[in-house]
Amino acid sequence: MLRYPLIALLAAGHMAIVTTGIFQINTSRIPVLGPMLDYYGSITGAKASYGFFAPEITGQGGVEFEVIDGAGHTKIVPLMSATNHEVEVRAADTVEQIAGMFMTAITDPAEVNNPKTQALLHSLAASLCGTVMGNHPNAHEVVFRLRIFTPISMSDYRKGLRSHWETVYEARFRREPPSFHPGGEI
Amino acid sequence: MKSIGEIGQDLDLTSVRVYDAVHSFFFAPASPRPIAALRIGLAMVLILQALLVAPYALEFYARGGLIQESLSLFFTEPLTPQIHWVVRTLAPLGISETLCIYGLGLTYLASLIMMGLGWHTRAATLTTWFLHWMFMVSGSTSNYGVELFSHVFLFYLIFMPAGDALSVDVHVGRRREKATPLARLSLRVLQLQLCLCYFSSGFEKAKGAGWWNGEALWRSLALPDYKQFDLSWLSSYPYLPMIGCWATIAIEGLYCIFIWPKATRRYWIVAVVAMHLGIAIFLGLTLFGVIMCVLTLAIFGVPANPELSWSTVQVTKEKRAWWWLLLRPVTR
Repeated sequence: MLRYPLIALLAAGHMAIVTTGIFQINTSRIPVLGPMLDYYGSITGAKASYGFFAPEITGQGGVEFEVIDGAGHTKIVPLMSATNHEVEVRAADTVEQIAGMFMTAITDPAEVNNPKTQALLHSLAASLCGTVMGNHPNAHEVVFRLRIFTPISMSDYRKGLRSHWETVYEARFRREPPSFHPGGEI
Repeated sequence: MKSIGEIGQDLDLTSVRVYDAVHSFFFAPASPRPIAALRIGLAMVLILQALLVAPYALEFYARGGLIQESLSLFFTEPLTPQIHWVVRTLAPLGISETLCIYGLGLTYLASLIMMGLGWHTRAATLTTWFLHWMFMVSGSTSNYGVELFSHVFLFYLIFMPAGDALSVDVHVGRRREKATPLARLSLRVLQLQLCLCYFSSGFEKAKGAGWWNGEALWRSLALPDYKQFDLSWLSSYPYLPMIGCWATIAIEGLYCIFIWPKATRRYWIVAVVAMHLGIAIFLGLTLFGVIMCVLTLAIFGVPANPELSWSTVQVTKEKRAWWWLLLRPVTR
């Protein structure tokens, strides 16, 4: 008998949580209930916010890998080459998130002096360069560059200025020479 | 001058009318067809996405992929299902990570096909939602709007009568297509969710100066990740991006108002579809554009008013009265 009122009540409760997500009301600090709401939000997507491309378009982060082979030849490669646009979008999103992390780590004063953050940053760069080395077996060295692209305004464009990529972080990784264990087990 | 008794009667009448309107809005029996259309549309988009991503599954989800395991854990929330759990569980049985990922992918694809066809709909939807969540968590750095909206609406479909129309379940007699109060309540929840999403999106944009002077659209079209065509000539006609920005704020921000009246609904649906097609073409967010069109077309475009199926439901005021008592206004 109580089926519909109960369902309506559950739906109302769910919509209330959706509203807290949409208006970015921080419920995490509520003792006990906060973490439960966060987890519920993760399961259902109820705590999501939908401010796509808002409130401002400030720019875009990107990463670049310069692959250097044993003979010193260099080439610039992307993190991932895709044959369809959906994968390109997803790869770009990965790069964007990585770039966002790096930007925080190198610009936020609290993070710049945080050894854990800096170690994580180095691990992330090493991990990405490891992926690139895996894709390019001849690579002797990989240079990782974090870049930002800031689009200029329409009026600046009319004045002749152009947007460009700017490198804000660089790290270099060399491939370890293979270990040699004469006569023994590896 | 009215006596207190007459004022009381007026208030009583008004409250009854309001109550009836609210009740009718949330519980008047509705056809499950819009929900079924959402189920089919969502399944089709996700099947297409799965097929496009499948060749790159190891790069996005394997421990040695783009983001290696130790780092991917940094991006994921605790107690959320991850592919690594399955890999670790099955490793002692000699099942490789690659086999695990492709096995889970094939199961996901099969559940999507079952969901789309409406064959054992609830079980299929539950499986789809869980596996979609698992892939979403495991490849969290590559998620974007398509994952978010799919996750939200797949969860709803688990509990809603999504298999009660346009499904194999109905065809074989496992479910019966009929207008129900549950279908109406489900549809209202979906509609309110979509209205909140658009309002939020429009509201957030309206807070940025760039969305009022046209710079936001100009800059979006110039970002390397989204740039599809050279539209630099727009800088000579700044009013064009400005109009585009205003239109976006209006379509999204006022969606929650103009999508409801019959007189404006059709125009708003056309405007929303045009906007998302524009995003798909000019920003390259094709699947995102398609999924957003599916949501609006299914949830607001498919008629929910029961036709002949009205006769299958005999919900009279008397029958409803037992639970009206729980919600009715005090003055009644």
